[in-house]
Amino acid sequence: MEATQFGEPPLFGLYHPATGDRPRGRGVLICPPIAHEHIRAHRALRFLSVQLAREGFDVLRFDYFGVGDSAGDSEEAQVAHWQADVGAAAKELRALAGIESLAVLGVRFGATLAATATGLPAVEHLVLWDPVLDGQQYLLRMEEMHRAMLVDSRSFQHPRQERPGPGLLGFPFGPSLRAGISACDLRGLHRWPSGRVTVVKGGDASKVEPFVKELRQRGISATLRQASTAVDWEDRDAVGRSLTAGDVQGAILASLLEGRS
Amino acid sequence: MKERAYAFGEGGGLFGILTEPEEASQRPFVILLNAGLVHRVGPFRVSVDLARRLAALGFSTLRMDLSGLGDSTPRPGEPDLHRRVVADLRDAMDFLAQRRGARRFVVGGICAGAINAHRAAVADPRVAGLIMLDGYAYPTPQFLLRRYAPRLANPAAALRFVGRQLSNLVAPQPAATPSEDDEILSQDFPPKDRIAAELRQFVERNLALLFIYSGNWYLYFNYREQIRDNFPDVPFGDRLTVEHFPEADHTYTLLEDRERLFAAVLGWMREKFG
Repeated sequence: MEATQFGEPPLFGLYHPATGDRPRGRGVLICPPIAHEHIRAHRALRFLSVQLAREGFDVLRFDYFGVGDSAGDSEEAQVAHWQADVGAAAKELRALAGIESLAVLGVRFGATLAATATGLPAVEHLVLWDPVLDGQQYLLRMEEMHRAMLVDSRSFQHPRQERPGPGLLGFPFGPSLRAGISACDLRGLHRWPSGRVTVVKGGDASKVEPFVKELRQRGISATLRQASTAVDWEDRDAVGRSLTAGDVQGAILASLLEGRS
Repeated sequence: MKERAYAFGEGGGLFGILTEPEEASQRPFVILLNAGLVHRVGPFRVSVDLARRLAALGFSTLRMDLSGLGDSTPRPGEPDLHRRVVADLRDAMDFLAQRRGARRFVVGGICAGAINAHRAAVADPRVAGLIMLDGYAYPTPQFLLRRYAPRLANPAAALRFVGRQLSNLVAPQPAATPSEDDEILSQDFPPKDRIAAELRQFVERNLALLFIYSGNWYLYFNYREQIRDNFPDVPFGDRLTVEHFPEADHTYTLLEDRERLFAAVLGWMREKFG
């Protein structure tokens, strides 16, 4: 594992070069979730990166501007900036690994960003783990969870009356960021960065089935891969808890290996 | 401000991000530890924000992952958690001494991170200051009075409470789900006598101590003078600063609470080491 900083202001990334006997000459860019989900997923994405590198992939996981270890305050984060960050990270991975062939794995809103990224070179395969399809619904759910937290005696000794502000579950979501997230709707996305999309869904997949069907109707080679581990993304009690990917990790690996030597 | 990632320690297994001001200074270096399993950015990125604000005041900060956490690899051959933490922090201080000439350190953490910071201070004389968020605290008469007086003022609640205690005396129940009261007595803080001896050692070494408690810690701490009452024989003088944010939760989820936390830490750093 090697740390890397790229772009200006610098984004932080961790590069896992292929360690197995059979390097595949193929990169996997990991686009993590945002906000509290970003922190929750760190451990799982580290394990996944190590496993993918063992399987011969060159892997880069990175933090968007204003997220994690990257430059920028959380208040400065913007969706358009993040979409460009995905493109910049893809180029960084190709340069680091000296490869052309690239797959992108996006997780939650990271999947949304991967699908709507700007400046992205050709992507052979887009893998979306529990993607946020509707940005507006995503924000509404976070707002509900935030309101529930304010009156939860396990968090606060007395119910809180918060001053009006941008805070949502510990992170600032200003008007411009909210507008950017609300505008994201993968169900209405016409230009996809890859002709091959796999949606990996833990637990109940009924909500993403119509989406996958719709992608197929548009001529995209779309696959739904189900796993039994349902991550509790929308559970308020789990906001500060590191998550376990369970068999989702195997499902992602199988998706990336499928049809490849 | 400059930020760079480093791998250090034996075999480069430890990982951290060093945030530095543009100009080097003789001030102590700050080391921020993991809060639970959260990687070096801290809950809600609190460690990143704090490190950058400290850099604006002229302090360098290493946000590190202890072995086996975040992006640090497990430390082989050391199964004991406490000794592992001490070894990790010794490696971090050695690294900063070699690379940056650092001689004195302020170590900080939340909850288990606070206890880990305390352990490092006991083991290493280079630690000059401690920032402990929701660390140890022990019951005192005033603590118990503040905790139970509101119940006693309510006759119905008082009767229920006394009834529960009496029935427990007659037929103690196995604590399948411990009550809050049980937790007060069962919290796994180090023995008070040992902490008292270590705090005396800190005072002799002239360590600066910042203890901060959130409202979430109300089962263990509920008034500002509690630590001095816990350790009346320790001549803290002005070496000990205690802050209490009863409205805040354990990880300072609300932005307004976090601002108050930052103001307390930055003000203390400026006063003690600026």
